[in-house]
Amino acid sequence: MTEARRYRWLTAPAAALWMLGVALPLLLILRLSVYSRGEISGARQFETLFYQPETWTLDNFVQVLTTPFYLNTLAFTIGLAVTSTVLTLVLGYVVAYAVYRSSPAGKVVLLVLVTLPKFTNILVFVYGLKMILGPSGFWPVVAAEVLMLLPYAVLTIAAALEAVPFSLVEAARGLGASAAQAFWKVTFPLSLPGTIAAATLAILWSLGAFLGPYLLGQPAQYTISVEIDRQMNHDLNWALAAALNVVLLGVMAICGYSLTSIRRRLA
Amino acid sequence: MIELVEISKSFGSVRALDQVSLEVAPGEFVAVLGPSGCGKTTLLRAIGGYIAVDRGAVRLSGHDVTKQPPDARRVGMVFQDYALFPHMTVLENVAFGLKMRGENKVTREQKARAVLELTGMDGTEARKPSELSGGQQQRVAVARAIAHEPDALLLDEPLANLDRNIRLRLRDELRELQMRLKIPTILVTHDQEEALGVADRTAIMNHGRIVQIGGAFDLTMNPADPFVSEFLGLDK
Repeated sequence: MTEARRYRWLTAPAAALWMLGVALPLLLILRLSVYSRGEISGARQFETLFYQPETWTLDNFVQVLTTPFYLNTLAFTIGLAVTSTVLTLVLGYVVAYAVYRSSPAGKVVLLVLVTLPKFTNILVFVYGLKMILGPSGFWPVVAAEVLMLLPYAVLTIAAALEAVPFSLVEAARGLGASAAQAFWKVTFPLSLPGTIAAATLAILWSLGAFLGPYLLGQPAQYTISVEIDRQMNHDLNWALAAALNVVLLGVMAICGYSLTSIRRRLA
Repeated sequence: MIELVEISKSFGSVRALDQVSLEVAPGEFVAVLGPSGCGKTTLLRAIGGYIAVDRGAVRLSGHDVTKQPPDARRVGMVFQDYALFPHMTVLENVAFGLKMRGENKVTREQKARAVLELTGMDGTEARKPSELSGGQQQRVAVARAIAHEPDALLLDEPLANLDRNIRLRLRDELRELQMRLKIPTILVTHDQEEALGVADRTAIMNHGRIVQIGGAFDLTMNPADPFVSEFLGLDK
């Protein structure tokens, strides 16, 4: 304990990085989201940010939470994220299980195949999908999201499965469990914490979905992230973009917190 | 009764089991002794149904189980790493075999508690395996293996991971328990003292064959060949 405390200063570089890279930008977004921009637009909004009287307002949040368009976009974003996450988990589990049951050489081949899309530039990857999937719409967007998420899900779930010794399955079989019973009573519950970790990763990632909806979707498939981009780069209303972002962050925090507490209870 | 009739099994070009025949009478305790790679674990896995033999037959209590999967055989196996289910309590572990065989909750918990008492582990029902010592885990593994009253008890180096003192005590307890239950038992080990000290008969394996089988006195007085006498340390 005291030993740990004595070397705590060694975390300083990481702490500094976190402050500069995460905390500070987050603080700026929070400030921007309650900023009354008046006539000022674009990056110039940063010039008068802090401690300026009469530049504080909740109007941006009121606008986000009372405009049907934003609420619909938020609902669609959540629906898309849940759909992508569920499909990613089911597919990811099947592939991860195949990895788990493969020979050492087979494992390598499967894992390389799964991570192969990550070796391509993401834009090339999505445009390639566009050519294969044809007209834009909901399912092409879901397909793109699932394919982008899949490698992370497979790697996380495969790691969880690899930690389940196969002798446990053999023991269950010897005690009278069929192959399916052994899976549902032993393998699956033991891999569940890792699967929920994969779910957490997938839902947080897909709540921020941008490229898939932007490139493969119709306006009906535009997510909060696409709207944030539009507010920033077209309407130059950074304050509203920041408010949208804060609302999205809130949804992410709820999802992340609940999934993490479920995982803690299981582990 | 466990009957093996000329079973053979090859992995690629390696003959892990080469026409092995063995009979273990009801209530008999047979140790299978040999260096690593001699085929003793393969023998045990063939009886448990974890590998399919290429030729020969496996019979348990008179039934031919050669083609049956592990869950269709009435076998209790104790694994070297115990293979206790970490997400279940001790009681759930021991009752698992009864649950899979369709016993109702009251009956299976009753039976599981009785078996835990038999192995001296009563009082630990609600604990998780990770909260037990190695010796306690071994006893729970034995309790789990015998709870569903199997036709055969298979022990795969069940004492290998324990300290010497506790190993000797558990060895004697195991034998006492087996004599009380009268289950035909096969113990696989590479420790000659363990084998000769506990078993009615010891089979000595080398290169997938049983080189010699007999009681401790037989084996030490009349070793069949130089390998047996060397392996038993009789040359000194």
